[in-house]
Amino acid sequence: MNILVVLRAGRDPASFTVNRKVQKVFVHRNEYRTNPADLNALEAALQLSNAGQTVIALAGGGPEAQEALYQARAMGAARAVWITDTALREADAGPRVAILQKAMTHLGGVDLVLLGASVRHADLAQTGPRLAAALGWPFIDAAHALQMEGATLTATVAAGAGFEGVRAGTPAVVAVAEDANQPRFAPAASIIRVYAEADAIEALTPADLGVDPADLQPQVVRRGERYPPERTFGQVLAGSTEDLARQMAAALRGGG
Amino acid sequence: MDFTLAPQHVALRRMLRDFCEQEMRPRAKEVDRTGRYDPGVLRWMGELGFFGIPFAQKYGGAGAGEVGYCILMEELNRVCPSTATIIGAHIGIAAMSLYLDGSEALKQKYLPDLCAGKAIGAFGLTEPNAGSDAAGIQLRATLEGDSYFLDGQKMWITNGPIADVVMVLAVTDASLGARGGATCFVVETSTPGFSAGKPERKMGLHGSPTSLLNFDEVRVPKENVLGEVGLGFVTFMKTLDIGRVSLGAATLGGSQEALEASLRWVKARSQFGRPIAHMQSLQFMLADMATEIEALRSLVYRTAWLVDNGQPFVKEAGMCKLLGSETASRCIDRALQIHGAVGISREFALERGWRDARIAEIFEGTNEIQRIVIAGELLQERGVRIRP
Repeated sequence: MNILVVLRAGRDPASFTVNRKVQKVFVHRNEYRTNPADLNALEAALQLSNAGQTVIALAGGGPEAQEALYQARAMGAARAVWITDTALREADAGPRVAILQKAMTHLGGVDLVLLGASVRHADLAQTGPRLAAALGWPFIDAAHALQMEGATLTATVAAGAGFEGVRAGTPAVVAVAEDANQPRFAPAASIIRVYAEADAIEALTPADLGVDPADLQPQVVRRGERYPPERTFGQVLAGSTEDLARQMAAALRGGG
Repeated sequence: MDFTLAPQHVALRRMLRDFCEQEMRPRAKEVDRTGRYDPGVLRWMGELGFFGIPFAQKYGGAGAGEVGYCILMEELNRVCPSTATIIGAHIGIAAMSLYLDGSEALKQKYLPDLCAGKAIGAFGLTEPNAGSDAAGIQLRATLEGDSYFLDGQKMWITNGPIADVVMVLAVTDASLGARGGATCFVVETSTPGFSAGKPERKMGLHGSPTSLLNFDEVRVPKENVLGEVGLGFVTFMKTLDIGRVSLGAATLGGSQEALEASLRWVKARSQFGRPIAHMQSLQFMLADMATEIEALRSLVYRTAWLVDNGQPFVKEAGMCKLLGSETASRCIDRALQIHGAVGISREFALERGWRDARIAEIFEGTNEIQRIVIAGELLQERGVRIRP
């Protein structure tokens, strides 16, 4: 059984600053990070794979996607597939879903697709639900405590102020919550080893997979950038102790 | 010329940074306060391969070379110098001496456990009467049958109280002096006659246990001679040479941490109606810190590259230790000044950083010794041989 984990990589938040005053992003270093929740998805997959499933990581884009895949291999993924198309770095869910469907066929079938529920990326967390809809598979969003028994998946998901248990049959698509687990650290020796392997990562282009170029057209069009106003911190309260307490309570209730 | 790290080293740094920030930073203050390192974290670091990071994978190491080891020391020393010192003594001098000069049988016997962190190593050179004058050691090893018997003391031994294996330099032929008459031994601390003193109470590095070691007729089998009989001094000096590179990397981490803390503080602290970042006097301090750190970074990683590429590196290694320890002391001192009174508060990590940093100008060869080493190399390159 194959478990496919979708990794999305973007700029490391520590590598750039957003200056709201001048409405500009300053990039200081070209450093990238795997989307944190995608690493939770990978961790969930690696835990499930103890039952004999093969974990395959997939990422699309430039060198940042390649880095994410090496990380996945070092953490324990058995295979890694890199879709080498830099346009995918900022691609929305449309092209991603088109590629994923073809990649799943290329991999000889996938029974479970895992990815992060939250995303710092242009796909706006739409890849999971759209892929599930396109495949006609069940979709579990923001899953914690994912388990699999035979062909049945169980998970807990946030519901109001609490959690509820959900169950789905495989094949399925599951978006794993960012706080669902603690992704393991890749052992130092594994990091060095995977980079030394000539075939650690399988590189494919969308054309190799037979993706129709029309399906790679983004559906979201970027028309410009707008920044939120500069934040102001704190508020000085005045009055008697009783007044202060009242104002404080009101501010807390109002989320102020 | 290429000044970028290899992709595997970039990935290694990312993992190490994440581990240090998530798992070590929250514990560092407590390690200092209680004077006890966290054994759980150390075990975890062993499982992740930190303890054998530079060594070949066939001995259980990670195979990351000196560059990888420098990255480890830089990242560890940013957040917890006590733990960095435990690891530094373990890898940089204890396991390194075995890796450099040990027989294949000794490496196969000890390195896998040392690399996995299942055994902790220490390096026994300093004695009550032999510090900078390392050749003045008096601990004696006498051959009887197929074993040596070790008698004497070692002092100021990092990891002394927790070590499972100690690399010990002992006099085997007093008539030849240390150069020719000293031999290095791999000593298991479970051997009868070996005992470690109680941990020293120090100004800094509270979580890194340091102690005296007593050797009372400690029997060491002949096969535990590290390198050749009579050439132990060479092994130890060679080991210290390479250890200075990673020590420079550690001080780089401490310096960088001081700069980062200062940059956060000058943005957050306001005086005279605006953030103190606008004060030119403080900007100058920040600029000086950043400039010195950048110079140190170039020196450390270039020297690590020399080591990994089999080039001569002794002079540069001395420079790493010298420039690094003095840069760290200066940077942390400036950071304290920038923070004002808050800098000396135990609520902030700077006070701890200041106490932890000072020893780097002393241990593994004082900075005065480093200057002698560097000058000696400079003169030797020009045909003049000097002896201290």
